[in-house]
Amino acid sequence: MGALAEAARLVSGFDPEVWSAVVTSLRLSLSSTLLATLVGVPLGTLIALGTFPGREALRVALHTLMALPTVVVGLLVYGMIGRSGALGEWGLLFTPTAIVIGQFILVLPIIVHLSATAIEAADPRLVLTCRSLCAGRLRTAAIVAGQMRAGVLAAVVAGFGRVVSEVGVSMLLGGNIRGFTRTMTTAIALETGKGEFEFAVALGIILLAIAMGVNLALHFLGGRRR
Amino acid sequence: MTNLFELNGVCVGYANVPVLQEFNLVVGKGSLVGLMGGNGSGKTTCLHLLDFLMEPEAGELLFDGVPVASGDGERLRRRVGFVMQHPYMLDATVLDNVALGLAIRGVAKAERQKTARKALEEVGLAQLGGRNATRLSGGEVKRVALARTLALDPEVLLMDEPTENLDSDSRAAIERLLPQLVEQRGKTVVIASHDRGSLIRLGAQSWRIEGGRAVAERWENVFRGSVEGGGKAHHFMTAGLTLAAVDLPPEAHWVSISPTEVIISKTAMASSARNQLRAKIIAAHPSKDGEKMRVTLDCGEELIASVTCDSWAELGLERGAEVYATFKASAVKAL
Repeated sequence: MGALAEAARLVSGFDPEVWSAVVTSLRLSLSSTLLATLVGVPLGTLIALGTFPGREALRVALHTLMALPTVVVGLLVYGMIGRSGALGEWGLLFTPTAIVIGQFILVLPIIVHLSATAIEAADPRLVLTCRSLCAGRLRTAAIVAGQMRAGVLAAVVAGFGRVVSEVGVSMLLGGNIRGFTRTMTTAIALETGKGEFEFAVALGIILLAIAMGVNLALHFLGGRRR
Repeated sequence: MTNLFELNGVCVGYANVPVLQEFNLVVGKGSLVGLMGGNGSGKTTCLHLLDFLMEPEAGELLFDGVPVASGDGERLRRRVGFVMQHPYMLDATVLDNVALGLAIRGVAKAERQKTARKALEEVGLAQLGGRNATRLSGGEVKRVALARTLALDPEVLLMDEPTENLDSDSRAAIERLLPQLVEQRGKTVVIASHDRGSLIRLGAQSWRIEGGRAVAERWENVFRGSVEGGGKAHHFMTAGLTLAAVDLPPEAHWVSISPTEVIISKTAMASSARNQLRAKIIAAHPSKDGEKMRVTLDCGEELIASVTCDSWAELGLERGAEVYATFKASAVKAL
């Protein structure tokens, strides 16, 4: 109970250490989700509306990649941007950019697969209507994605939920540097290890609140789709 | 009249199941054409061909006298408007839905809204512009879809079951508008419909699709005219006939008489039937099953009677014979 009360005090008192981790987490997660949305939604639309060889195999691969372990992504990117890696000279390791790259790889299959699934659910008459009104492929894709926006947004929100709560990528690629790459999840891992439960619980409360917000958003969007 | 569409020996199908086979059809420029046929007969497939949404697997499709090559569809489709059987409405306002085709074609917002409003007025739904289109009734959706197509001012209007499941007001609105588009604006209209009465009222040159082929539809015992006299019992006047009728709506302009309701006799019959016409047999052919004779009579207009082969033989009738055609007033039905 004492730990909970102290955690509540840290949250409500706007403890700088706590809020620094929160802001870093949100900044990096939102950046990686935005980038993945810009790439993933058009890709998902293309997969949903296109016909090309290997389409089904790609869908299966994307489905599999949705469950990609965060530490595996962290390890792969570490191998690329580490000192001896192909991009080692760029000096990205233990920077926020490294975390964004890792989270981007983590969230991209989720956004692509879920937005493709949402767009595939579009009424076939919509595509026929667009074609009949002389819309080209790109315009048709934009109209269909716009009409299925609730499902596409749900894909984006689900992706954000995944990256904001991941720890493997942030720990391996960010290095948990205080005030620089320390996110909520890496801070929780560190403080728990040190026995500073109040700090960890305070961050846990905020992370839970964010998770709840994400789920409420998904629930609301799901309701709109129905 | 020059031909706008010509389909010569067209074959098309889905997943190796043939729908249209050796299909021939000609649609004249500025004509109103009806396509009839059962479910799955290929009416909608034919409209998809005419909208260049699919290409023939075999045979030739000519548009405006020019063979349509693979890949021409997107360019030619700009001259054609298609209203689906169950039109799709975007989750947006009615006005935005009507303006969709214009937006796709890059028309400026102010101009497309003006055109969309005009098209909505044309279908009698100007008051619905601000409503969400997903909350419209079936009849309203069809009229909004028609407005969406009219806003593009296409040369050709294709409509799939335009009067299906519509209330009488919506149906009448569409039946008033389509002939106007043909007569006043020179549009070519092709309608796929189950509604025989609607095609007759529209005066459509109709084809029945059977076994993947188009056969010219000939309406039997369908007469155009007007109702004379009030009350329950009245007359229906055509160009060459005065028919006693009962319970016809005053606005009826088309009536039909089933050939099986017409009785042929050599002498005048003493009966309660109020229609007894002097007629001359001009043709007689056995039906497909060989059980009935379809007898064509001239009684001021052509009238078909269906009699059993036994009756035909017993009466000793032949071509050129003078007879009486008798049927009840209630056999005269409004279309």
